[in-house]
Amino acid sequence: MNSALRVTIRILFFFIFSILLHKQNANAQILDSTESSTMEEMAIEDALLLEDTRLEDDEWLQRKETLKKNKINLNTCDANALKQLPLLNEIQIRSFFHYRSTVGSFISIYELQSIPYWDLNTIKKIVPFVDVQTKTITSNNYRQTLLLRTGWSNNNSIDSTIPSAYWEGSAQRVMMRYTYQNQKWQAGFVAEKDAGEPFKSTLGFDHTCFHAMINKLGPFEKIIVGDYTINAGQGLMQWQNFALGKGAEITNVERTGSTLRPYNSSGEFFFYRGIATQWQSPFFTVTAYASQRKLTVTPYEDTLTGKTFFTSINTSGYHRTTLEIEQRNNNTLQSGGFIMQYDNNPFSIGAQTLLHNWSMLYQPQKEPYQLPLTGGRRMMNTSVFYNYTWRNYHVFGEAAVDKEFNHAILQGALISVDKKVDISLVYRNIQPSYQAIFTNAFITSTNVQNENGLYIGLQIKPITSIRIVAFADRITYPWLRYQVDAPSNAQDYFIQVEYKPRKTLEWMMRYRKTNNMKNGIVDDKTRLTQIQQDQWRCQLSIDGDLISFLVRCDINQFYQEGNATQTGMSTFFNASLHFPHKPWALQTQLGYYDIDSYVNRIYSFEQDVLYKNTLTGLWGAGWRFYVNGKYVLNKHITLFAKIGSTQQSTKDDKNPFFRQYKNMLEYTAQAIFSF
Amino acid sequence: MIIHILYRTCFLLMLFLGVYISTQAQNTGQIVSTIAFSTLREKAEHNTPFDILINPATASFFKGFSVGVCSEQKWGLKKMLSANVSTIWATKNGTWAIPIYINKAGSLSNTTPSLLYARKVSSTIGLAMQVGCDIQQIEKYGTQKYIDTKLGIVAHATPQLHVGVSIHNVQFLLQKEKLATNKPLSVSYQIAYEPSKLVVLQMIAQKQQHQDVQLSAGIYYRLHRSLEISMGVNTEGNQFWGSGSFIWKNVQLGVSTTLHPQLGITPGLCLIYNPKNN
Repeated sequence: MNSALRVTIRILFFFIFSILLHKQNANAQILDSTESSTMEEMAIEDALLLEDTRLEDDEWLQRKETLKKNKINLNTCDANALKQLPLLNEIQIRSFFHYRSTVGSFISIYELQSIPYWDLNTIKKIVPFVDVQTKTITSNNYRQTLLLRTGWSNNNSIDSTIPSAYWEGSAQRVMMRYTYQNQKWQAGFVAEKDAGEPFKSTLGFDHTCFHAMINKLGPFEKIIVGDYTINAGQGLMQWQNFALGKGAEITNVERTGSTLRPYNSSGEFFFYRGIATQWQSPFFTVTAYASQRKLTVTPYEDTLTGKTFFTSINTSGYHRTTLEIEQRNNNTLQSGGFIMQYDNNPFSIGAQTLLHNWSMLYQPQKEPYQLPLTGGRRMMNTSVFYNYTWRNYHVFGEAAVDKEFNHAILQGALISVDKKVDISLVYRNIQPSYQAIFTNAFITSTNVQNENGLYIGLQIKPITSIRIVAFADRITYPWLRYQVDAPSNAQDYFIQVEYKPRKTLEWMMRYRKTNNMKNGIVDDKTRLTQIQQDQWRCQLSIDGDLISFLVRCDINQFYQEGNATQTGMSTFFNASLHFPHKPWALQTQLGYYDIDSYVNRIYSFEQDVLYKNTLTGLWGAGWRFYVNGKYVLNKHITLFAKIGSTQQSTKDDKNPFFRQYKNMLEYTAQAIFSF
Repeated sequence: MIIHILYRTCFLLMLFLGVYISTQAQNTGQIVSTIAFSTLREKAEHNTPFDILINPATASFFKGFSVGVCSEQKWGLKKMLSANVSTIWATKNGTWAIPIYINKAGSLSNTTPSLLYARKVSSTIGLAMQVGCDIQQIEKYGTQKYIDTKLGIVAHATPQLHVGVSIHNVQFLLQKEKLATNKPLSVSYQIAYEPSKLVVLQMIAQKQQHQDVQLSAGIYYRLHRSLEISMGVNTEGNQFWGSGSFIWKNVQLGVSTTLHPQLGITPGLCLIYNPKNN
């Protein structure tokens, strides 16, 4: 750690000097559509840390790219259009429409600064996706996109618990996606194979998905045939798309967005397959859907009755080994439901019900922590949800029950107590026996189950260049959890300070402290032990016209009662080259890390080829390097490539100064054809 | 004599409120006392960013007279109760206050009557000194008395930003014999940000001898002319707290609650009387 500490100290000196030498720029209030999305990346990183199975869901990235090319017209758009941007909260959306109805049409994008509750940071985030005069694509003016991607790594054990020697297929990852879009129609097709998966199944690819969507057909707002996602309420029952979790965006605690969306991603779990329709009147929206799709589960046989049952679902979508391939798509899930919403500004209320039917019997494991769960072939959920805005107060919530009437409740509030201060509150009470499948609520656990808690978030913007964000979350788990053999509790504290004196310079520091409980051994006795985790992050980013820099330093500390404290640090230096009139852009990163153990691993969100999320979890000691490039061949073809290398060292017990290095390489190549 | 009368007054007020009186001392009563905060702000020359229990120098900028009583039932247990009674009045030569902390935890009880004197040293800086006697009593074992002191300074750095430092039991530094039974030295640093007349954000870092640093953060929001709510977090025991306070003419009535991860809910009640609306 000595060398690591030296590196850290140097980086910290660099930070301090850069701040001391910096001069305040009075012209900070200039809007720029090329705003760095570093903070947005960190928000995605925070969300993916909770649930990395959504790593392959690039729906939000696709939506962003579509919106960049087909911007939202602020003078004609409705609330649903603005909800496509998960960057705005409900108070801001309501405030926007109130302003537009009072003042009239926007003349310039700069006028957004006059809207109450819209601060400069928010405006900068949404400027790339909105305009006051936008030409939309018409039914005669279509857009087609074909994406081809391949990737390879010589050490897949980083993201896999199964050694590659047991894989049936090659280590290459392959993905193909085609999208057709005009104002009336949208259609898409995805075929994908993960590393280790063989070309044996339908069309040779392990995962395929497709959809065809028609907009505004008779009384219907949307009709989708094929794959689609449903997102309703606050995610206690179902929210299949990506959504932000606990992190620096404390005003984005509410789940908002379109209820019905076409699905065109490589993620293999969070979607339905069948038909879905949405009918809309001025105040009512009714969505009805039916789905039948196959999922992979681990089957067991009851030796007494001879019946086959399953205990868990494979949500990763990996089918690499002989056993995984045998079990592939061995269970059919039939789902159907409807959602009814009444929306009369500023009040909205809705109800939904959903029925799942498994072809194989679901029977929870007989482990104590799963005892509250009930099995069966059928699952049913019903919920009511609402939101209401009054002046600077916004409240929202959902109450759901399953077929056994076990409940899950989430209530939240968003209050702009001052133009400089925002507060968010989220209370949840979820029974240990509550069950639902495609959930994604604003809670701490991965599954919506066994959690009570109160979250308080605070955002302060004392001056334009400073933003302070903090939250505290207090969680109790009334029942046992995996590797936690007693009811337990946890606390999560977070504070982040951002300083942006000019549009090209941004400094950020964050601290997070998490207290948790887990089984452990103390004095040769197994019992519940306290876990304390401290995470520090310091980051500086400088955006130049030709080159941008980002330096990040992470320091982690992990302590479990009865064990020694584990420490870890990582520093990354990131440089991006972007020439305004050249067809290419380049980005590179060099990082050093020294992390004592896996439990203390540090995650880093890496920039990758377009539409690809990469979250690298690092532990051990070594160097991480990658180069990421983009080349616009012509107006129809864009090429992307990324080459990464991790030089991981292992300490020699006899000679701690000697380290053996293991080289891990990976590459990704991608081509996008647009017509 | 004065202390005795005040103690009796406090007892009667408590009975009036239907709440037990009890003792213990140091950290109790702080949650409910935050309710009193809004009244102090109203009556202060400068916006008062902290409660006098947190920093006695807050009283430097106080105007008029106020008396209040606050009580909370610790962790929902009948035998763990705490209360504080504060009387505060401003004179030409400074502000005087008599805060009394009372606490009871099982067979242990504490009563700490104190005398506080605060004075402005400039238009934006105030100093205060508080001296009291912490009377600890254990049933069947007897009584022990300790000196309890507090020094504080508050500075209004800008109209929106206020900072303060207070030192509790500074006499510890003068004690030659450092015994474990001595009252521990404690230093508290406070910062408050007031973006508007309706909102105050407060953060307090407290370091007590032989203890980890504890942080407390809270927000006070005036919903309506006569209604104020507040909520916050205290890392000591990982508590969340919240309170609501109703102001009617000269009287302020508040309720508060603290959520503790293991021990549950602590309800609290507060009554403050301001004879003059100046």
